Amino acid sequence: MAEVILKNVSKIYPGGYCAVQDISMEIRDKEFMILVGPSGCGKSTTLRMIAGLESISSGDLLIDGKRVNDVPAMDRDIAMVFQNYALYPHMTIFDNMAFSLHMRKYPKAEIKKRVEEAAEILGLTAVLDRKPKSLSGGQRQRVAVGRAIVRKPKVFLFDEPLSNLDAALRVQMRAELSNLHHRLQTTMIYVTHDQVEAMTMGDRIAVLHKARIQQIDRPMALYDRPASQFVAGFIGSPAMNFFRGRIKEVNNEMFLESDGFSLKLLPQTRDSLARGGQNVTDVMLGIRPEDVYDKLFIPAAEDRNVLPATVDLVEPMGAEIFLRLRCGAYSITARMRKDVTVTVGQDMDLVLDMKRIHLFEADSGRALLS
Amino acid sequence: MRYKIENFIRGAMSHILLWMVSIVCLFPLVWMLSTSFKRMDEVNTSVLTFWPKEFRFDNYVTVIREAHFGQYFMNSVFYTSLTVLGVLTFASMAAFVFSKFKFPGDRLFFYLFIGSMMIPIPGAFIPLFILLIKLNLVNTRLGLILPYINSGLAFAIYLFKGFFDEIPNELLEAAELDGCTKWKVYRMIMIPLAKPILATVSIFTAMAIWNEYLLALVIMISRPVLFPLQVGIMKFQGVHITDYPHLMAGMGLATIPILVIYLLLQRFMIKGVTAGAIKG
Ligand SMILES: Nc1ncnc2c1ncn2[C@@H]1O[C@H](COP(=O)(O)OP(=O)(O)OP(=O)(O)O)[C@@H](O)[C@H]1O
Ligand SMILES: [Mg+2]
Repeated sequence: MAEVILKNVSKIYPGGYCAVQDISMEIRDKEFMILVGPSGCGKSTTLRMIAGLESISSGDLLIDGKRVNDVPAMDRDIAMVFQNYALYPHMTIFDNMAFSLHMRKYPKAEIKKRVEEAAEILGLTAVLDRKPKSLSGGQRQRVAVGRAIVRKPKVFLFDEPLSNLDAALRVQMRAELSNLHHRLQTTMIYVTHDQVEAMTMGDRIAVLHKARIQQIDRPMALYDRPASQFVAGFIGSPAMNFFRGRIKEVNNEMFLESDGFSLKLLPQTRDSLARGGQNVTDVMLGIRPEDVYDKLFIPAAEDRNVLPATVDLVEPMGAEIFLRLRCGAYSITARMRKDVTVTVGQDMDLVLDMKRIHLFEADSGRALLS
Repeated sequence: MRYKIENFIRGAMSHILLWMVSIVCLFPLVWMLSTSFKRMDEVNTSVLTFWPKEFRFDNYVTVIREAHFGQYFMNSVFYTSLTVLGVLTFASMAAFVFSKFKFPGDRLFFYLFIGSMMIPIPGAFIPLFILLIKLNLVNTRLGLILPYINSGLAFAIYLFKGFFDEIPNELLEAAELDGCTKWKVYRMIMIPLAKPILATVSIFTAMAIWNEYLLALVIMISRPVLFPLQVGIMKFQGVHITDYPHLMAGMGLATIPILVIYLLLQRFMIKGVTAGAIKG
């Protein structure tokens, strides 16, 4: 049982830089929470404050209902896996994993049992006598995880643990860590700047940007209903397409006018907009690459919702093709079935799935549809 | 073909140079050895001989037997080992703090620390001596060892700090989360990792202290029983005549411990000088 609660937590580094500003979130017991965001947004700082490696400038941190702001790191019952693994180079793998138990004066037999158990889970039994420098990157990563799990801590913290691994190993470790979470049933907080890791591993994701939390939600909810233009652009790969435009109402129908084209909005969009964004005229329209179609395949498309574009780049991905197209001043990414035959320079009429558009206020980036 | 000749010449030149340097370095040592086997009258002749006419090992026996050699030797061992211990302890702790802790004025303190101790001991002789008199430490072992430790600290702190700076902070943070106090971090992480530096500092300090002469002579001014070896064997150097064979035999014996330490620790020391980062 361990829930971690941050209440209006801020971090101001000596020198006055505010790395984390007024962050509040509740991480539930046994939850796998992901902190994601671009470099420098304050992810590591947040994690390090939870760990007790960094002091909290203001706000409260509660673990299991107790305020722990002033509890030293070693007494918070938290384990952390670092990006560069931070294994003790002079100790064997066994000693690396046993160290924390040793420091806490566990009996020898218990230490041995726990370390061997963890080594078994992580496939490290054969290397227990070796030193870290003789292990591969993936093995070191596992040792770092093993060192955390032998302690059976209340909370696990991970700071970009996979970023030093090659792509294939990263995919594998991703799955292993997810399995581990199921197996251990412990609260985990995981920092990454890789939105694929965030989407695939997390129960919930907190998106950070410029020292603030932008949105916290389940992965698919975040994908389908981003609360801001930043989140919409950050989550999803390839990224969402954006067009700037003005809302116009003509004869009880609503249009989005942009340079070079005009799109007719659906009645439900209009209703939704009436609720969330009255009087807003300057907007950003967002559309995910998989919701952009070649008009040839959509015979029923209204002529008024067609975007004339030119193919700039063709990226075959195997199962599908990513197209980069130019439409006036905009660059658009489209995700299409692999059987479309296109060549660079070719003209193509695009159709947007108007049911799946997102609208954001142009200045603030706030989502207007709900 | 041309390259071959060029390479050959280049190789030969560097070998000749190395040989010359070696000879220059080794000559005094060899001369000391050769003299230590000679008889007094052979030394005093105007003809210099390299190879002694007869090898007189009894010079060594005399030195050991007559010159309180054992006592001086033990004094030297005592001063040297305590100084090495002191330097290792204080330097590694100070360097740990300078390297891994932030406090107001840390940089300034570091440079003051290093800078003040860069003043060589002879430069501070008179104030040091007065200080020791006031502390009642003249003619005591402590009075010698404290300045000795001080004289070794600056360089040692510098070496340790350079090494500690390369140890990633995450390693210490991991240890902290694993339940280490600052002291345990120092004991269980920093010190074991710093083995090469411990060896390097030990050798340099031991050599300097074992061979130190002037300070010991001054501080033990009226306690000859506390003389270290280097001062003790100088009894063979008289005001009017110097007993070179015995002096050289004593010096020869005095070099042996340093040689042994060097050979034992040299492997680590080279690591200590060349190794920078430790990558986990
Ligand atoms: N000790 C420090 N003193 C001053 N500023 C710091 C300190 N540590 C981090 N910062 C600043 O705080 C901001 C947030 O840093 P943080 O390490 O939390 O970012 P991050 O989200 O983890 O980024 P990354 O993905 O690059 O690891 C950065 O702008 C960084 O420069
Ligand atoms: Mg970081």
